[in-house]
Amino acid sequence: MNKGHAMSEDDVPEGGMSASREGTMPEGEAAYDAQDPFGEVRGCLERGELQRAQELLEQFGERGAEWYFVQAKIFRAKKWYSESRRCLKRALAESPENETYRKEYNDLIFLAEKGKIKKQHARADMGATAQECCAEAACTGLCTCLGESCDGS
Amino acid sequence: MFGYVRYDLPNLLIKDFMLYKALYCGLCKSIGASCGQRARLGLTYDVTFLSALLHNMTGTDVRVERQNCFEHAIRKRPIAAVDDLTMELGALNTVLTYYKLADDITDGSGGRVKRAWFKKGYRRAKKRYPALVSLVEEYASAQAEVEKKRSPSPDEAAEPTAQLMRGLCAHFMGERSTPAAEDLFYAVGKWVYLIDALDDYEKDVKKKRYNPFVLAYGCATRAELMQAQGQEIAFLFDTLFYAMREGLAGVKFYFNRDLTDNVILRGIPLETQRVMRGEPYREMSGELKELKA
Repeated sequence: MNKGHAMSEDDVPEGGMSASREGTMPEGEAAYDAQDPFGEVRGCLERGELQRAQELLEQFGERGAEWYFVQAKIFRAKKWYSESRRCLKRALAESPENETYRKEYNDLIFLAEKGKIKKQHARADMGATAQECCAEAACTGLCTCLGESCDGS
Repeated sequence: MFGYVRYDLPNLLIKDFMLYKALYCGLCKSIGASCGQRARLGLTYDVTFLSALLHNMTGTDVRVERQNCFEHAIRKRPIAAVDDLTMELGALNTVLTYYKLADDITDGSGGRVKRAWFKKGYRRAKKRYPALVSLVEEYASAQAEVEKKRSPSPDEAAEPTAQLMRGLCAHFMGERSTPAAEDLFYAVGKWVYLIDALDDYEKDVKKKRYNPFVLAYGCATRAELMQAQGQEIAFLFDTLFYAMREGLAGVKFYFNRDLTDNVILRGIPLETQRVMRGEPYREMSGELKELKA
């Protein structure tokens, strides 16, 4: 059993780790561009062809930080946020200075923060802050949070 | 994996409470009409919620009438009249119950007698709604595949249920289906699978049954799991709440949406909290007289 990760480290990344070379030529029929080895995968991702993107990505023998980053993008497009975060952590572990990876990771964390439901203020019309909600409710005498989450003004 | 999609009673308006009860009773009658009386025992909160959501999203008005039923033989109750949508949802309820019991048998949890009870209803549903049943069959075989593979990824393990819900959205809404609506159904389906897996954590550890959380984190109890991996689990559910809110924001509703909003924005997070804290399952308050106390 693997502790600490939703998927074993070797599950998605079947190949070895390579920090020096990020992705070698895929073994399949995909067009290979030495300047941007993941260009074809990104193209599929942009067109929403997620299955094809995954197939192409799996053809890469060696898997470095960029490989994990692209895998994270595919997972995110599939709405597999947990797997996406795991891959981003792996990419960041290899390239901690990479701003793009960091931004994508923070973006995911922010998304989860937005998902947190405020205890007293899950509202049907959504998007209203606690203060807006209470201010509006106070006008009609309906604020029920008793100052727990707002000043009741 | 039934019974998790519930309302949050203290924040439910009386009109929505009455509507929910009418839909619940209406679904029960529809199960009887589409799959036979025996199948009514499989009635679930989850499909009642789908009834509320789909009536609203497809613009199908709910006609509430005062009727009797075998449980309420003397005093008439407000009950949602049987319509085409509820009839098909009644069949869905029966098919899902049948497959859940089949899954229990595969897991070694018994249930052969119960499954036999629903077999006739399942056959009637299959004859009447072949497209619907083939959707559920596809889901069952995809789920069996994931379990056979023993995937330790909660995302991957929940994918068949999530895709079933996406498929049901497209099936019931037809041309009215939108990506936002399908994303909403997808997120709800994924939540249903994951909350059930988390709730059954200790049972699955004991019986050595497939559970992605057990394979992924390997803790002996749910309490240990929450202590060691609480942030990971919270992230998983918070992103699902986000997806539900995003889906809700893009969905067109034809009628008042307070009931379904209550379930999605309050009931589902509350149930998540209950399971994460390891609190016991509570029956939903179902009678107005209970509220008087």
